[in-house]
Amino acid sequence: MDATVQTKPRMRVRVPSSKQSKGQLRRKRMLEFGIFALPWMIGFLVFQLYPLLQSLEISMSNVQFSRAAGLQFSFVGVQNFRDAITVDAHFTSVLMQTVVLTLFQMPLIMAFSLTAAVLMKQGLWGTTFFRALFFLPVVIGSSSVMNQLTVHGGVPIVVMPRFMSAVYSSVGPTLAKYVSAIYQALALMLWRSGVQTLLFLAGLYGVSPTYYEVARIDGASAWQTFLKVTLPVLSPMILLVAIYTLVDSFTDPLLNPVLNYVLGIQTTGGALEYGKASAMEWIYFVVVFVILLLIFRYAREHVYYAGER
Amino acid sequence: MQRELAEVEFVANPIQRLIDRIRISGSRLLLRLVLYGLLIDLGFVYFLPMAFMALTSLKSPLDLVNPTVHWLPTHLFWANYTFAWAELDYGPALLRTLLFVVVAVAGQVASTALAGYGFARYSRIRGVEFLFLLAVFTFLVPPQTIIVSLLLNFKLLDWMNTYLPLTVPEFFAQGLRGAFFIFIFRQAFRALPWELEEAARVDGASAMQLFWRVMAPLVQPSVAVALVFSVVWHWNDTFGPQNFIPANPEMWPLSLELQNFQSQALSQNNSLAANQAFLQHTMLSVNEAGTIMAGAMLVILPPVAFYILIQRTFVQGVERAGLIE
Repeated sequence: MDATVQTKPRMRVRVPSSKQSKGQLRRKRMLEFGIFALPWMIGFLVFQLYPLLQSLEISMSNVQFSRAAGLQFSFVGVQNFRDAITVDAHFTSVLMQTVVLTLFQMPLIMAFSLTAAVLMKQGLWGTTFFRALFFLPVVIGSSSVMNQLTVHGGVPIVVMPRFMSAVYSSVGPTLAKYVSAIYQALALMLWRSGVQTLLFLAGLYGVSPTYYEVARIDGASAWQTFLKVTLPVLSPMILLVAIYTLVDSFTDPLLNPVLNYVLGIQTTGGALEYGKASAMEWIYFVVVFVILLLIFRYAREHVYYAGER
Repeated sequence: MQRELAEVEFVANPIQRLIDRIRISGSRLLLRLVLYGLLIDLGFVYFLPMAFMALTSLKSPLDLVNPTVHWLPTHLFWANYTFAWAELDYGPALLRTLLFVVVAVAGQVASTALAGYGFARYSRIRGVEFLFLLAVFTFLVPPQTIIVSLLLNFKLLDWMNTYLPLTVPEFFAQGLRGAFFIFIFRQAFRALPWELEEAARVDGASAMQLFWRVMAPLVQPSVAVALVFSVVWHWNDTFGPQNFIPANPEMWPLSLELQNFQSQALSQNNSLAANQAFLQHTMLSVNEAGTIMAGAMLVILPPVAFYILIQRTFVQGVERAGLIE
């Protein structure tokens, strides 16, 4: 509605005897959107929707393999879904664990990456070096080989700090084990926040210096400026980072127990278990998508876009 | 009024001013030290494995079995690099990887920027938000889920063992995490003030001119970020090449060459009695650890160099953003 209000003066200027109605303008806007989104639409239909529907079909089929006929699908409806939830002993518990763990880690990863980005924007000497350093987890984390060599292969990713031996001697081995487990979990989490840190850094550099100037003139403290200026302007980026963190932990086959489990079933069970594995994946998507929608719902009231009226 | 007078007095008193300045710079210094401490502390977690890899890549087999050598090699053993260079087919592999990554990244960033702009600036049209949620849903789908179907279809198209399956989807805003890039651009474009669009439209700019001349230059930091991620993810991707160009080693990108190099070394390793002392640190044997680390260094060097070049663009964003006001 607002759009038409804003564009009215323009139309009066450009089209003197205006016959262009609201409907025509709306059609024009839709056409413009169509042009921008056309490549995506084609790509979505061909490279995503079609394969996804095939996967959905598999999830509702009993897959059989024979030398003569190759793969054969027979429709069984929701049976695979029912099996995944009720018959399979591990699936639901692994799923629940992953969801809880991810929801627990998400705020921590986000808080850490925001802190790191803010630190890097302070204009300290050597910022370029630190920016390069914080890029390493992005490069290494996205390479399966590098992952094997570092995170999973024993390059000492977690070197126990000196204080650990002190902890060890003072509280005894049992408690020290927990402390070191927490330390390791934290270090692994740091390794998974590289992308987020870069996103926040770009977001911070996008905040107009004018805002800070105004805040300074009005006498806001650094903390107030962060809360009232930086955070709101950064909020679209915070939503992006939240979704990325959620999806990243849910789609990483190396780190995600559910996907690991499903892929394990797929490879060990062969074609016979294919239907069941697909059904599990679909249950999984739906659960994650619901979480994602909840985040979007929350964001609708709390994210500030300068382009909105 | 009184307060103003007090301030004048305060500023006029030179000794007081000096003390004040010292106090401020003192607390600044302390703050800086704390910030540095934090940065170094956090950076250490990233720095150590990298340093270990770099140092191991320069260790001779003798150093690797020597229990007194943990971090620093006794001498720099560059032969690891010559061996890894040959094993990775580095020269030609680097060229074809560059070519493939440049094409794929160009297609992906351009098409996702367009789509992101559409989702951001036309969100009031009914159904656009729904389409965006569909796009986000595809972000959830790991490539493993649809790979079987993709393989079947690419086989039908006769695209197997070419670069087409790895580049064509990119031009349609799909490919490696395409939805994520759409999301990046959608957030960036949506944050640009509405007045800007209004002004450009009053001046008679078409939708494309508005996008290209007015809006796109203002989201430069996001373009830089998208470029970096797209380059790195394409550079490191093994899943795609492994599935779509399995039968043609002359076309393998560096990531796949490295994986192949590593798995060959590991399988040889199983037949050898691996050195126990070294096994505690890596799963590789003495014979391969140095060369594989050297190979890994060679493979990640180009994306790191690219990042160091482009990261200045983040900072440029500040000056650009000033134009908005």
